[in-house]
Amino acid sequence: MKDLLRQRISIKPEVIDILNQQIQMEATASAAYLAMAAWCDQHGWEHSTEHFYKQSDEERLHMLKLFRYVSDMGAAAVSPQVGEVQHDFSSLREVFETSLENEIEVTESISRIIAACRKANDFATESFMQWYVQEQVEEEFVARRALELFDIMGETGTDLVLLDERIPKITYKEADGESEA
Amino acid sequence: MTKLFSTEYSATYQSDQDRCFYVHFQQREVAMSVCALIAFKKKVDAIDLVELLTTDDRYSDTVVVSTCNREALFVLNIREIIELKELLSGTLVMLELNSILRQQLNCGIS
Repeated sequence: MKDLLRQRISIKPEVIDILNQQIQMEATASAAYLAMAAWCDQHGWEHSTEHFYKQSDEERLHMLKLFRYVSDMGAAAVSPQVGEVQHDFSSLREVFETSLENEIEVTESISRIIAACRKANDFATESFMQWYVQEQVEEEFVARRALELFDIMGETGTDLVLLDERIPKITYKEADGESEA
Repeated sequence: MTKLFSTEYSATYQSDQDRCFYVHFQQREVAMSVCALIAFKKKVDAIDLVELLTTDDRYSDTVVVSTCNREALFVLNIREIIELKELLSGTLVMLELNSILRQQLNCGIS
């Protein structure tokens, strides 16, 4: 009997399922950042707005990269249904706190995928997912550093204006381990 | 054709010649590719039996499921859903077992 399963699909069914779940998670993250951008825009935080638009685009690219991979491996990639995301926040700080919490959730999910790949001896997918591991180091760093600015700079009117201006300057430099804020 | 898995009223077969699977269910035969079989299993797995059994809705014990290419449509009652879940799970296990066995045989030969 031919091995039609392996001939047609390079990854195992259980890995396909978790990759499709991750596609949905990335799509939801993209939508969540869009909602954050809208809130910031409504409240006049111009630089934070741009930051969250950029984050939303990045999450969508993460989703597409996964989508293409699942499809390229011969499996059925599922275009995700995005549920309700948080639109209301009590403060700019809460927006950034939510952003960090979302990034932590994504990081943990990616770790679970890699653990599942190892269990299934799926080294190709594990290798593919390593890009996401590095990406999450950066994403978490940026979200955490933004939140730290609230402690450093304070949260009164002028402080927040200056803080908003600092947001686009937060970058993660992997090569020399330095950051700017 | 090679029988992959069977339950009391259903069975799945693999045809090496046609490079597809045949699902025998509700006295019908439906051909499916690997992708279609996995996608169909995903749909059937997603049916929440507990919800169906606890909802008061008049038609809550009936679910309509189509294959991913929409060539076939199944109207399922609770017993049939349980049977289809068992059939598709068993089939996937057999396919994965076949993959493992072939892999082991190839390792032994090389």
